[in-house]
Amino acid sequence: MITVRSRLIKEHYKLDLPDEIILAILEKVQDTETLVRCSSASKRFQAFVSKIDSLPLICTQGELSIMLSAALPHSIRISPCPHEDVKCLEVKLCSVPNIARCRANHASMFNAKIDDDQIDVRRTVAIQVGVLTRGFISKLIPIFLAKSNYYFRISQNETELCLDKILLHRPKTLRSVVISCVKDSYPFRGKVFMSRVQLANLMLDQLSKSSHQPLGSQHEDWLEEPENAAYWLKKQHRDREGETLWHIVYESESLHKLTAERDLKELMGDFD
Amino acid sequence: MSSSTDSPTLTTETTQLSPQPDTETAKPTKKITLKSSDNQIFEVEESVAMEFATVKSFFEDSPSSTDIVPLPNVTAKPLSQVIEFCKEQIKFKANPDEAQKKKYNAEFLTEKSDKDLVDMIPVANYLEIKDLLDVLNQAVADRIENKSVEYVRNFFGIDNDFTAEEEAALRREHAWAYEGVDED
Repeated sequence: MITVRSRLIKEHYKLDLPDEIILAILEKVQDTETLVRCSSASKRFQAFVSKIDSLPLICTQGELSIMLSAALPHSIRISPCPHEDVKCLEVKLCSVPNIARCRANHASMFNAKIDDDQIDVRRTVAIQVGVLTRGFISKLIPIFLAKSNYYFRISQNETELCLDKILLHRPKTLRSVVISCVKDSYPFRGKVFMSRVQLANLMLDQLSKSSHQPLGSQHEDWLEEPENAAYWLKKQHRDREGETLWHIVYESESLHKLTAERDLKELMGDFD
Repeated sequence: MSSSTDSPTLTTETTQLSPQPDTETAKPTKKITLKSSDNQIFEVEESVAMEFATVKSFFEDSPSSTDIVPLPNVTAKPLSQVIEFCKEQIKFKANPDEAQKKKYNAEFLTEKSDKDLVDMIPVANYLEIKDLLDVLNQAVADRIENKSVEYVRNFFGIDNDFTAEEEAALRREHAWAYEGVDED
């Protein structure tokens, strides 16, 4: 349903901005829906929008499904693209905050790089496993102790299907698709990320010590080693209690470490 | 709109003495005189004027020039706002404080009307002040985000040259993009 807006800006003025300025402005619009609307403002604006080759998209899982399925019968064109020259599509899926009042407990990101017939898909998943307290990880989610294929079950979700659909019906120019899936956006005091082995070690260490003992300094150093894939996004070293602990999984074993770290930072950036 | 941004920055700082401790050896700050298209004279410190790439290259071409720099197509009001912005940026250059800079930039932008903002863009573009242009473009992008087509048309003063049928077809094709639009 289209609502006609009656209250418009009071001042009406003629603007004569040069083309490159308008394009520069539109490139800064981080909302694809706004861009789509801009493209229907006038033919000149439609031409500007068609020059933008990197599209961000923030929507819920359901909305993305609608956009994709709407386009399927027709063409290789996917509906989020207002034109066919898009090179880069970034989709951020999120739950509507007032519906999902639970804390986000996992996040995932699919990153597809397309090079002609070669499609390289990487997957990064992070799961919240507990809260760091003085001496121990509290509220440990029991599933963490379950088999590692649990994580793959988490990511075998609609997100993956959406990626498949986009790849199958992609515009020829498309070179990269990033889908990140974030549930809710609850305020976090801080985050720690580590791999499964590291987390297991930490727990064993903690079990072998007195539960009243605070985290030792060797842990602090160890946690901040980048090769441990453990990050303190908040650099408040004094105040770590209550920070959430996130366990991360990379789908592909062959990932280059640096690439993986960048993905992780990108993925977790969604929570900031 | 705040009154401070409305008053053109005419011959400010002429009475200001450099407060730095090493002033004895420092040269007196050179002033550059700019003239807007509506014949207002702006006297600014050289460091501020050098933020304007256009003015800078003017002096690079004729280093000894003491003439007034004419700025055709630039009117006094947006120019005074641009000068105000650049003066602050120089302070941040000398004394980097990202948080303060962000705060200042945000305040500078929010108090401007739509018209003030878009009037400053051609000035920043003409004077080649890249940082300001970036900031202004982002501010405009933020102002049209999640707004209706009609709002965007009004904002940019665009005449709709689509036929009713064409526009209806566009809206049908991307119906999802026309829902949940903010109030104008």
